[in-house]
Amino acid sequence: MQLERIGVALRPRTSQEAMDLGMAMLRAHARPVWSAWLVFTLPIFLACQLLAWVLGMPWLALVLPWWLRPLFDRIPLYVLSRAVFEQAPSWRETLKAQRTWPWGRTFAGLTWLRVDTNRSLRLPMELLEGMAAKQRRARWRVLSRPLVGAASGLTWICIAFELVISLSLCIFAMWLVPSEALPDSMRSLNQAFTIPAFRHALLWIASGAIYVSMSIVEPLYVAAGFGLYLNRRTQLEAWDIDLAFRRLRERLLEAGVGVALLICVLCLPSFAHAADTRADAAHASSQNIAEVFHQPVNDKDALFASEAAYVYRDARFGQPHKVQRWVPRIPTMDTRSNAVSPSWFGAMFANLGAGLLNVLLWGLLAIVVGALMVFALRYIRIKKLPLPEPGERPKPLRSSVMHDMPLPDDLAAAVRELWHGGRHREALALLYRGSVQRAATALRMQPPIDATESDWLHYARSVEDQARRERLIAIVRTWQFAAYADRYPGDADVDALLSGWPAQQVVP
Amino acid sequence: MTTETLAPAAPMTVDIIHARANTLRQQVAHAFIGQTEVFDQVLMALLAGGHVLIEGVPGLGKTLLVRALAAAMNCSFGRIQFTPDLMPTDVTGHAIYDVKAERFQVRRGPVFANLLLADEINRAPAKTQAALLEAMQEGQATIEGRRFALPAPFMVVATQNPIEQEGTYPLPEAQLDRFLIKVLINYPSLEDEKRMVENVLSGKVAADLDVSRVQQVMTQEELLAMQQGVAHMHMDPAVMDYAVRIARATREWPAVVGGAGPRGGLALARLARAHATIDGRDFVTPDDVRAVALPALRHRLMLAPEALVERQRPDDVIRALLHKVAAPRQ
Repeated sequence: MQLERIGVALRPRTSQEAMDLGMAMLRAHARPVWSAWLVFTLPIFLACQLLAWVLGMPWLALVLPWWLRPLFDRIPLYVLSRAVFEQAPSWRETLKAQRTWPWGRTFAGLTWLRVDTNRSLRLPMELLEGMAAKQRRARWRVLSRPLVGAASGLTWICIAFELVISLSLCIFAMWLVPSEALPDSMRSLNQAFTIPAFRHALLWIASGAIYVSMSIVEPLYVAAGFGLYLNRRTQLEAWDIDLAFRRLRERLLEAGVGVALLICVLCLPSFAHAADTRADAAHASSQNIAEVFHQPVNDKDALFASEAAYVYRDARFGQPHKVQRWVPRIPTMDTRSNAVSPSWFGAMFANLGAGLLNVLLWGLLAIVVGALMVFALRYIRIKKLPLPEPGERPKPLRSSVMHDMPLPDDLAAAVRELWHGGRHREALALLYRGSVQRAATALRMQPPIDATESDWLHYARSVEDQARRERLIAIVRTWQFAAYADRYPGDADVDALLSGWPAQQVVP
Repeated sequence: MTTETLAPAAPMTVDIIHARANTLRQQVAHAFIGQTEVFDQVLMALLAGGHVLIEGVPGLGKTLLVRALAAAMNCSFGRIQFTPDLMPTDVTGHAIYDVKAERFQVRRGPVFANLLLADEINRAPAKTQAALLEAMQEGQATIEGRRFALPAPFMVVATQNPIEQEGTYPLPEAQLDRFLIKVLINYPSLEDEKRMVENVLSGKVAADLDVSRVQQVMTQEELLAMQQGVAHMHMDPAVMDYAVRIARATREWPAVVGGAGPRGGLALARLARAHATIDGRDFVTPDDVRAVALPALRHRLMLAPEALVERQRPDDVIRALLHKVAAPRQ
């Protein structure tokens, strides 16, 4: 490992300092990072816009660039990871290198790890170390354990920054619109959203704003994550101590081979390795960055890798151990007496507050979930409501109220009986109901529940036989006048209405 | 209270009302070209003695319609352009001190007219809207604590723009309920628009609001008699029941959070009678109720947010609802 070529001051730092370190690295290499970023992402972004426009799905213009962020993140990470140890690559070199840089983990980032909030930390480990799946999982557990909170926090902060920048840009864009063309109130804004042209224009503006904010924030996000990663490795592998020894060794070698030999014999067990330093230094400049991140490139490193793999396979090394032992749940008297301290009152309140807050937050979550479910249920219920298309009659839920009032077998006789009994309205109502029921049967349709007299007059036009058609129309008209104008026909007219179909059941 | 209303007129028969309505339509058509559906709906409201809310973009002849109606019926015409700084006294009137007579004199506002056009009503603050709505509901206006009866017949035709602008005060649902009918006015057809242009360009200098070709075809007394005739029309209980069931169904419809109140059922019944009259019938059928359901109910429904998300409009809901309410059959 060529730690002596590292361009940052290594020392264990807090997470915040580590993220600051990443930001500082980005500031130092801003030009290569953002130039490569723009060259790589801008064409993809424009392609997404074009695709959204061609498919007629403007929302794709927003979703696709967001979804492809793990792909975009490769660019700043590549530049920074090289810039740490040597000259930062130009945008041409960065783009060229993408062909050979591993893609498997980027695919994972674009699919099942897309919504991982620890992406900034996971990305350098997966792309720079390139381990097998099992080792990668173990490595991730070690690497991420104290950093999950910081990495997630970084993600949410960056999202917040992006939102602020995007909204600011959108508002700025709205300022540029002449006030005459702007909606005047929230209600008219809502109505304006129903206009496709307005909605599309807003989507394109939002899409541009999101791209600009992403271009500002995303490299910062990757750089901060890379800073966390470097710091964690410094902590785990004592890079700072390693580096101090290397520098000491170089100084001693410069002081003289004899003294160096003496000191090496007396102090350093890695005598043999030190003896090879000059030979290694000859090809040190030719070593690439992959060497720094565990990928063997020469025979010795390959040998080391195979040995390391052998050690990893050993059941006693690196494997998780499960140790079980009994621990009393109630602390002993001694522990209790020790636990009582002058700050017990504050601790009690702190615990109480934490418990209350816990309950409150869970309650809030339950309310939000409940509200969402209620909204969803209502939405589904309304969505299911049939809205008739213009000119189209929807199928009724119930076929007809006539099912509630069964018709007599001999309709004409029943009507005649009611009529002669002086129950004129009932007689004509029965005749009307029976007639339209039979007309519906003849026309092979379900009698609609809402059909009024004018509807039945309309349906009657479909009856082919002229005599039947005219009789049906006469029955509907007669009923209309009787029911709503109190004008009843004479006995002869009623007899005429009952003289054939539909009052009489006629075999077709 | 000062009374200036005409004596109650004897009800006119349906045949005469029908004939007069046709004459009125022909006269108004000299100035207000096309838009027959809009005119019929306004005429129904006029015959039913209600007020009209018209929604449409500016420049579609709303003022012309009201002026032409006023000219054809020999009615006084008033117009108020509602603005954010309009005060209630600008609508109703105010009292000023007459130095010569050494007393206060009441100066009546534009509300004292038979036909009042309240343009862009939602631009005025709630207090001013309330002054007009009092006049609409109670047929009177209050000036300096004194109540003055409005002339009869009295009809308000209020307009509002579908796309609202800055400084608007949308009418609350309770106040919208006071309008008997809400008419949606859209752009005229190509033929009607061509006729309009020809009409305006036939030797005229001014290009708008020319009602000189509209002749008076009835008096205010005759209009009152027509309204009485419609009010006395027979309506079968089954039809009344149908109208009420439709109004009630709006309250139970899932996509509606605020349905039509009792005024909705009343509006359906009143408008159905007017519709039957215009159709030349002296009785009301369920078809009349169905024909007026959209203009009578669309401004009385408050849709649920979920329905608005689905871009449902009150008209869609009313149409769907009409298909679910059983028509009378006995």
